[in-house]
Amino acid sequence: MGTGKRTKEDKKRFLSGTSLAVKVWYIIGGVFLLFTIMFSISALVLRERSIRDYEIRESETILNSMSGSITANIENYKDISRLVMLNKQVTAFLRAPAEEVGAGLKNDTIYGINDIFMVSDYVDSVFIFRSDNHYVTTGKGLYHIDYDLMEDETWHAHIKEREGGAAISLNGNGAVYRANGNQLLTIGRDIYDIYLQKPVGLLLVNISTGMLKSATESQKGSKVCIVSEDGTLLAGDKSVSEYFTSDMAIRYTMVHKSVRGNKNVRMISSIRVPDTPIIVMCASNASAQSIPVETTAVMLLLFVTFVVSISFAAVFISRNITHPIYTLSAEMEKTKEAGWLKKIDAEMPRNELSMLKESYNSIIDYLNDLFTRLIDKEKSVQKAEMRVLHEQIKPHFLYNSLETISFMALDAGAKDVHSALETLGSFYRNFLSKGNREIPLSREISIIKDYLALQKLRYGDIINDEYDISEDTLDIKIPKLILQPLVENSIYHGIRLTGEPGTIKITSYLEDDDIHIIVRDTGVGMSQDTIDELLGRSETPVEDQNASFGLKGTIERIKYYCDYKDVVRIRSEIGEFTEIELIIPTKLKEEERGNV
Amino acid sequence: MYRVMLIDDEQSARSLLKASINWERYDMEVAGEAASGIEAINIIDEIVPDIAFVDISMPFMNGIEFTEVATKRYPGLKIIIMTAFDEFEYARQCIRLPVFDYMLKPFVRAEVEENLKKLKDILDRTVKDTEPAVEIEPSSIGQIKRYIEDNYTDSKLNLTSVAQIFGFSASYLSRKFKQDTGKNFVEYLTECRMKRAMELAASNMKMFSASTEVGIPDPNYFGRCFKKYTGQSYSDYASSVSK
Repeated sequence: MGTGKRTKEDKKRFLSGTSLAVKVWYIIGGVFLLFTIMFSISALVLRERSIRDYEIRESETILNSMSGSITANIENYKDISRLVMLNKQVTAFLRAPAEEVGAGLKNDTIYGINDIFMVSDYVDSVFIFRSDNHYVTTGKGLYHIDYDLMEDETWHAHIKEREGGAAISLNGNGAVYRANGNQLLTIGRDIYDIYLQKPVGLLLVNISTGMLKSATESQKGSKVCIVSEDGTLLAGDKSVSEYFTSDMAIRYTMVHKSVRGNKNVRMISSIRVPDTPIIVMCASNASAQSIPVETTAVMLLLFVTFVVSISFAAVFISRNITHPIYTLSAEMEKTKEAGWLKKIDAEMPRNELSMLKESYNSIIDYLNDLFTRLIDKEKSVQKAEMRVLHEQIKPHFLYNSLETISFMALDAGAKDVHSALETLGSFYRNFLSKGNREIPLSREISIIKDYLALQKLRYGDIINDEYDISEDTLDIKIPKLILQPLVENSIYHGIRLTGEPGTIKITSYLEDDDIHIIVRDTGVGMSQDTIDELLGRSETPVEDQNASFGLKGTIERIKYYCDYKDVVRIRSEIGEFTEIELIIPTKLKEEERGNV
Repeated sequence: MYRVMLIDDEQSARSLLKASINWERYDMEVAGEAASGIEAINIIDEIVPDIAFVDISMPFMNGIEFTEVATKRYPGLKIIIMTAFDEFEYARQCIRLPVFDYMLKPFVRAEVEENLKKLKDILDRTVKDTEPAVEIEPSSIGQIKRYIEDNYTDSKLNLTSVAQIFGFSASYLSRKFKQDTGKNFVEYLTECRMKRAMELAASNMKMFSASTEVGIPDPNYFGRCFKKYTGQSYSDYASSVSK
């Protein structure tokens, strides 16, 4: 049960899993095979049929010719036999009283008969019987005459019903035989007295089978024979007579019979010669000499046409359907590789496939449009949020308040308060400011200086700051606020945790068109795990998420700005120092730059 | 001593700038302050500054409009634009005027002093133009008085603009005007405006409308001028007259 089910499923999977191209080739192959078989069969059948038609035509010709010649011969003999009745000697013989019939009269009669039949070939013998059974014969040799049979009315009936006409039979309808066994064709007729108009005698003209033989011999090259009603061979090929069947004798129409299992004989045809008990038979074997060339040629032409058209169909399908589908698929694959929604450029045939391409492209257009709109929406939402944030901070209010308080401090003589407020104001005007996303390094440094000055106010002497800024880096533009978060990190996750004073040193220099900025602190340091996490190299998040959030965000921002190049390096020794180095290319092309 | 004028609508901003900078070190003094562009136009001819610190965002006449007027009338005046960062780009785009520098607010002393140092150097090297000695006929003063009476509603009208129209130097016109009329130019202009303002006050016009009507569209400054001239606030005067 299991296996049967599996094979069924296998078949299903094979059919559904096979590509269209392979399926097309399978179908074309199948159709090709089917049509080849069909063509072969119909070619064979047609050939068979045309050979048979040919054979029948041939046989009809032969049989009609033989039958015709035999009938003509017999008619000839019939005509001659009529002369017998007018012969003086014969008349005398028949009219003579029984007592006068003697050897003399008989001899005269035989002469008379011989005179009549002298010109005719194949006349074996002529018998004339008087009503009293006296007879004369021209026959030479021994004959058996069955008088008893001749007395029988049923024997005489076949002649009597002709009423003076001739009746054809074999061996005097069984009454006359040659002792040597040669078959005889007998023309029998009653002899009427001209004056009395009643039968006075019986004439039997026996014709030897030589007449039939000559008829068979006239058909040279054909296998023919002549048989009697019971199938006895009278003349011709004995092997043909063996195919005789009794139904051939029943009617006078032609009979054709196919023969199987014999190489030389394919068909037997026969016809009964009219008004005679003889049947003409003919065997045909046309296969050897009569292949129907035209039919075969037409068949072959059809077949070739078919093969050509099916091949054309295969090529057409391959070129116009399968191949373009492969191209289409390959083009669609490109979208995946490109990472964005790419339209299909490939040329498609102007049919359903180009429609498919157009539909696909319009979907891509729609999707791209959708994505653009989504991104724009997202951007505008972000912008709006930023604006709200700015509105909430209200820089003008802050600045004006700072100025007012500063003047109050100054007026009251609190110079250090004024200085602190000035630093705070300076820090915020840089920190909150809109405008360029990129600022010169010098301004970022001044943000840090302000920031550290304010932090020192809070934490006193625990922070020392040192700067080693190369002159040629001061005007290089960097993304705004990338150093401040690093410094902040140095204070809160570095120096503050040691409980001792520490130093933050900022170094910058140019090397190979890259600006190197190093923020180094003598804090508690970082574990390698933390470093990996910060650089996005490890999957497992570090325990203190908040600790690294600002730093990680900043690192990602720098990476994004520099188009995800390896721009951040972190070196650290636990308990000693942490050093974060940023390497930013100064020759970034505008389009390479991410939207920081 | 170079004369410095501070123009900012924030009193504390002006006070802080005035108090926190050691002006004398740069041979400078804060000669005057104005709380709006309108006030600055009105008093600038009395203060005659060499340097002006101008805030961008001021009501009635902002720093840009003032700068446009001032650079035409006072070619030697060094203007420093003070701006908060979110107006910085706007300021730079709007003004294609020869201002000396832009400074970010809130200001840092170090930055201001750096600019002052540069300004002093430049001013030290500049030689003051000698005034052209064009005689002014007594009839001209009459014309000028008539011109003032006809045009005092123009808020940008001041001594220098009139002097330029009539082809005199401002300081000479100032002296001659005082000599001939016994009043100085600004006093006369203000008098014209205030007389009209008193009429308007009598007709119960609101002060902010009256201030625009007489050519001082800054109602704060107008109010001060009115009080100084009449000894009464506009509203008090209006109510006293209407009784």
